[in-house]
Amino acid sequence: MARILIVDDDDNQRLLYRELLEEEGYDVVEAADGRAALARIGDTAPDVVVLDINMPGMDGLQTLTRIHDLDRRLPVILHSAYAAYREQYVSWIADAYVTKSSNPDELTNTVRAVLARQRDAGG
Amino acid sequence: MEESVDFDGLLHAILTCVTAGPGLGFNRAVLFIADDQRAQLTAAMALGPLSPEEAGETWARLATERVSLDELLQSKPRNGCRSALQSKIEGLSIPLDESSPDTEHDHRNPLLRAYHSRRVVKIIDAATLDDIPPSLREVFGGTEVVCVPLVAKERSVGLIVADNAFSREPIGEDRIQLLQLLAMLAGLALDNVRTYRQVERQAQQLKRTLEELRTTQEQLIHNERLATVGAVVARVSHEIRNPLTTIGGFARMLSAHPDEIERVARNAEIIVDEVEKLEALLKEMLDFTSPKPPRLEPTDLNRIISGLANIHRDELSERGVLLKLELAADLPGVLADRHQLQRVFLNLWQNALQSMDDLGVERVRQLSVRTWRDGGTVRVSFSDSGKGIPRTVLPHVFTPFFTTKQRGTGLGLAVVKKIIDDHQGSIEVTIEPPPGTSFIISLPITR
Repeated sequence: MARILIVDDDDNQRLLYRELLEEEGYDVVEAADGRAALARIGDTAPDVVVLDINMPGMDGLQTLTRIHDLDRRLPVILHSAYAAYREQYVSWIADAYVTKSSNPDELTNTVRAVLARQRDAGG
Repeated sequence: MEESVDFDGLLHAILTCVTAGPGLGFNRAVLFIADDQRAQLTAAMALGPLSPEEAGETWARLATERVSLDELLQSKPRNGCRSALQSKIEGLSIPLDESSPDTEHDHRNPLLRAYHSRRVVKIIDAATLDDIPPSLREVFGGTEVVCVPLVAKERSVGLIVADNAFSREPIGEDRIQLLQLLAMLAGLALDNVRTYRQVERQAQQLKRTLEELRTTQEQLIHNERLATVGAVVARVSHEIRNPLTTIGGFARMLSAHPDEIERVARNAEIIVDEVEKLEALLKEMLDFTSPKPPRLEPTDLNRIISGLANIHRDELSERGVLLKLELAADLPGVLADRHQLQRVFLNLWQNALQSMDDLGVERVRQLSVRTWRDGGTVRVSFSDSGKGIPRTVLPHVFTPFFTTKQRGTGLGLAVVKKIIDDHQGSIEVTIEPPPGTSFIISLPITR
């Protein structure tokens, strides 16, 4: 069962995405900020990270750089309420970009696609 | 075309000198102007009769009127009734082919020969020449014609063609010399006018450029405003999208699992929570765009600050922040809206606490709030030992929608400034104690 790390400073949103992804059959772990996310990656070894951008302290983009330092092959999906970031970040630093929406389909579809790509690449 | 120099007046004066009895006394003259842009000689004006009948009529009239050259020069060209000769030559042009200097003298067209060589060309019988335009040949056909170039600064600027078609008087060498002298002066005058026209055109061009520049500037200002609006819209949409996403997500869950009572209750609570966030956001935006005037009453600032400290005492200890209150015991009251000032102080308080959130554990977290009297004003300062505001950001902290935070509309300090302004007070921000931040408010004392 694939493990997904959700990084978001908003408690309600973490809970929402945990439940959505658990319903899809994933194992979900959480972190409320960038520092905690790096620690979680170390101790839970997730298969994919869903990362919010706007967080106090170490923001999502800083966290992304640190994740790349740790493990360049770990797929990261940026997940933000800022639709405008999509163009900037989707192709060259993250594996995917999902604008936050009340419809969870795009997030779950993207998670599925990124995991499939990861499996193919891993053989 | 609008010209401030009377170009036609000048041409008319030149031709009057050539044709008037008291002048050079030629029967008729046509003046050509070199048009460099179109590379052609253009017939600009003609003076004199076209037919023998007209000639007789004109000379009879002039003989009885005994008009002097001065009077002739003063008389304006009669624009309303063009002479027959003028109508005949109007629109006539001769292309200036780019001949090399060697072939100049070989031009078969005597007008071009005079023009290019800058010398007088006398034609004994114009009717024998093929290379002048037919309409011109009709005018000058069959008589002696003299072509004199108008020269300025060693280049030809035009040409005068004159004859004595009706008096049949031979064109003598003395007349030609006088005509040359006149042509020299006329060439200089025309060149001056041409220069003046150029300057005028450049002035017009400059005026147009200035107008374009002004339009561009207005466009730029407009675009900048749009960019600001764009940034505001992006930020506000972000602030709205977050709670909306949560509300929508949990609402979907409610309809997917309506029978799990506990989960339904929890989801409903979360939805209510998020709706309140949206309402608060809306209130903040509305307060900013349509603020209420302060309801002034004698107010004790120390009391507001003590109240704030009491409410937030637990939060302070949770965050490990040390509070230092220095409230002047004899602080005079101010005329103020208590609720609005509560809002100002709460905002500064929260900003101070947030700025100390990310400090390392070893760093001292201290918030100092001081009140004191300074002449006719009461002052309040909020100083924190937080991470501080970069010097470059300092001038923008009160600008609406400006924020370096990850959350919020960027309206907090703009509202603070608005309220203090409404109280005829002032607020300033300094890096004090470094690298922390101090906000100092001044309010006038009640009289």
